[in-house]
Amino acid sequence: MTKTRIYKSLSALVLFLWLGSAPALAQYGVQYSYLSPAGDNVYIFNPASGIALTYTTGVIDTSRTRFNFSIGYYKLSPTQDSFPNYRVSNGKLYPGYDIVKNFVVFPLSAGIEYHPFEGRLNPYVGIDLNVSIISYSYHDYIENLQNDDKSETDWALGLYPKIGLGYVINQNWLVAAGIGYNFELAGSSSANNQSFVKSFLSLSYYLSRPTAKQK
Amino acid sequence: MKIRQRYIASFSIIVVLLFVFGACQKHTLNEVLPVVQMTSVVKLGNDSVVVTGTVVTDNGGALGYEGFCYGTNPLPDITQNQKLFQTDSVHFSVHLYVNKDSTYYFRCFAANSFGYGVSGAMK
Repeated sequence: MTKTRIYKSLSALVLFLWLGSAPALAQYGVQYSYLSPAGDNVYIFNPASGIALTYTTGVIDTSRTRFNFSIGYYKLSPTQDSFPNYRVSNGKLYPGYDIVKNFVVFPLSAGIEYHPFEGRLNPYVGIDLNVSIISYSYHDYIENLQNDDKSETDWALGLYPKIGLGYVINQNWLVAAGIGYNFELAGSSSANNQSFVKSFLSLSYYLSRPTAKQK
Repeated sequence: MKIRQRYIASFSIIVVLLFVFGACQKHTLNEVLPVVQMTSVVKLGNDSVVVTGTVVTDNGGALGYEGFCYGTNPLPDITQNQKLFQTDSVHFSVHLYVNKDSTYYFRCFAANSFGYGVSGAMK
C-alpha cells in the first residue's frame, strides 16, 4: 500500500468517526505537546513543541472508555548547524556533512482511553496508534562525490501509551495534561525514527453538559 | 472516598514529575562520534615509518572504519594519502614508505554509524 493510500484511508476513517459518532459528552480540543526525541534522534533533534486538533468520544456505555482521534503537526530543529557524514567508495573514506533544512511531521492518531473516575478530576490511561507523514529537506555534501539539496517524504507507524489527568473547569471546558512514550513500530526509513517522550497539555470543549450518570 | 482522592493525588504527582522529566534533555551528535589520537610515529630505516593510532572511545557507536592520512602540510586532509581499514581495534598501525628528504605529518581517524572523528597531527 502506498503512503498516499494509507494517509487517505486513515483520514477517511477519522472523518467518518468524527462525524458519525454520537456527540453526547464528546469533546473537541486543542492540544499542545512537548516532544523529547529518543534513541539516536536525541543527538540529531532538539526537543520541540507540537500542536494537534483532538476529538474524544463520550464514555462508551459503562466501560469507562473513550475513543480519541487527532491530527497534529510538529517541526523538529537540529541540534547542530551541520552533521559530519562520510561515504566509503573504492576503498577510500570521503568526509562530508549534512545540513538539515526542514523537518516537519504530520501525525494522525486514533486511540482508546480508560477513565476509572469521571469526576471533576479524572485520571486516565490510554494508548494511541499513529501514522506520521514526515517531510524533510537537507543538504548532502560528500567531498568529491556529492553536493546536493534533497527533499524526501517518509512515513512511520507508532504506538503511544500514555497517562493523563483531566480537570473539568466547568460544564463545557476541560483541561488535561499527561505524558507518554511513542514507540515506532515500523517506518519507511530507519534514519527518521519517530520515538520520543511526549508530554501534553490540552483544552477541550464538551459538546453537551456532563450528566449525573457520567459522574 | 479518601482512597480515591489519594489515587488521584498520587496520579497527579506522577504526571507532573514525568512532564518535568520529559522536558529535560539536551544532546549533540559530538557525544557519539569516535575520539582518536595518534600514539606514535616510529622510523624504520631511511624511508619508512610505522604509525600507530588509538581509539580513545567509540562513544557507543560500533566502529566500522579506521585509518590514517598524511602529507607534508602540518594538518593533512583526511583524504590525503589515505590508508583505510575495515576494523574496530583499539590500537591500529600501518607501515608506510615515505620520502626521506621531506617532513611528514600523520593523523588517524575512525568512523562509526554517526560520523567520524579525526586526531591531531603528529610529525
